[in-house]
Amino acid sequence: MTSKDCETLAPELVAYVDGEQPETERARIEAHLDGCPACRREVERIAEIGAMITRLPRIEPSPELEGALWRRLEDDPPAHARGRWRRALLVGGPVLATAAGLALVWYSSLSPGARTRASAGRQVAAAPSPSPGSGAAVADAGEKGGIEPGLRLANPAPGDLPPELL
Amino acid sequence: MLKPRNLPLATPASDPDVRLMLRFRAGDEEAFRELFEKHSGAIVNFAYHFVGSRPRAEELAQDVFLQVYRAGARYEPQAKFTTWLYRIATNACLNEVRRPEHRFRTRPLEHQVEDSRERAEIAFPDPHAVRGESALAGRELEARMRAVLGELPENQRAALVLSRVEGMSYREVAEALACSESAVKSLVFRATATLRKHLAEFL
Repeated sequence: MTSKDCETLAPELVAYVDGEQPETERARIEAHLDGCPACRREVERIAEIGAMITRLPRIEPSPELEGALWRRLEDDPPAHARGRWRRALLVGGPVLATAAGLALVWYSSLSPGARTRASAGRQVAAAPSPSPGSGAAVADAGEKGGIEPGLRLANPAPGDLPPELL
Repeated sequence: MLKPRNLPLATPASDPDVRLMLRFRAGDEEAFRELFEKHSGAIVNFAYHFVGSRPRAEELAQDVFLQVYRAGARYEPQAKFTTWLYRIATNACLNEVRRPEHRFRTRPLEHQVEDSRERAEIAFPDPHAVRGESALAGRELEARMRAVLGELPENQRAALVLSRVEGMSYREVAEALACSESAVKSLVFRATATLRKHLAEFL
């Protein structure tokens, strides 16, 4: 056994410890190790370092991690996730159409006087109102962060809708 | 002592995570949630070994899963899911540590040892730890280890963490780093030699 053999084998010992040497190389290294206490000690040290790294404490992700990810996805959903709007409209569309049809039937059945009163009521309902729950108040709450981020997707800007829905 | 890791890679079709990803591609968001639940802890830890900061590691893990989510619609299984996932994670971590403001780039090793010692004491309090020399030595070792890891060249650090901490074979590491197996062998060897030099007093 010569020190030249040790020098040649030194770069191979880490892969040997990692079980990454092919069989022939492995046999050659083990034949050397049988007669070389210095290299055996080196193998032990390499294994020890590997074990030290493996024993480094692992950290637990914070409970907020998943929520933070979904918030980022809701803030900027990828194109394929916007398909959710399509699905939502496929489900919600027929319901809205039925409601609109019923409203039309009801309106047609009213006498001319009652139609006037109904129109007046609609105008009153459309007037700005400072009461809580009005559109202005909701928009304001949204700007102040009063609306949860998850709700923002329920009112997408036109640019967020897939082209087939525009 | 020896880990027989020269095993053939699982084919994508036999990888349950690939099947989850294909379900996600088909529109099943629950499959994405399952993947997140299964792998987010490992990705946070991988990033933590890389950047040495818990908040930054969590942000990087978010970046990684954002990329997975965004790639969902056009996902094509070509490797094990984890190989693909760690390729994304490695790129995210490399981009992070290459940023000029990354602190490990500018701080000397001694300061990093101090920093990582503080982190070890704050982040990993072990109520069952024995007070005294062995506990102190354990914290010292961890602090030194994290500091040396932070000092390694990026590609050596990536190869070492993927191989030793995540238990990947050299072949899997090569796929994750988009390099050859012999390059991985060399990277892991050089990283181990550096650790051996700086941790000599603990061996």
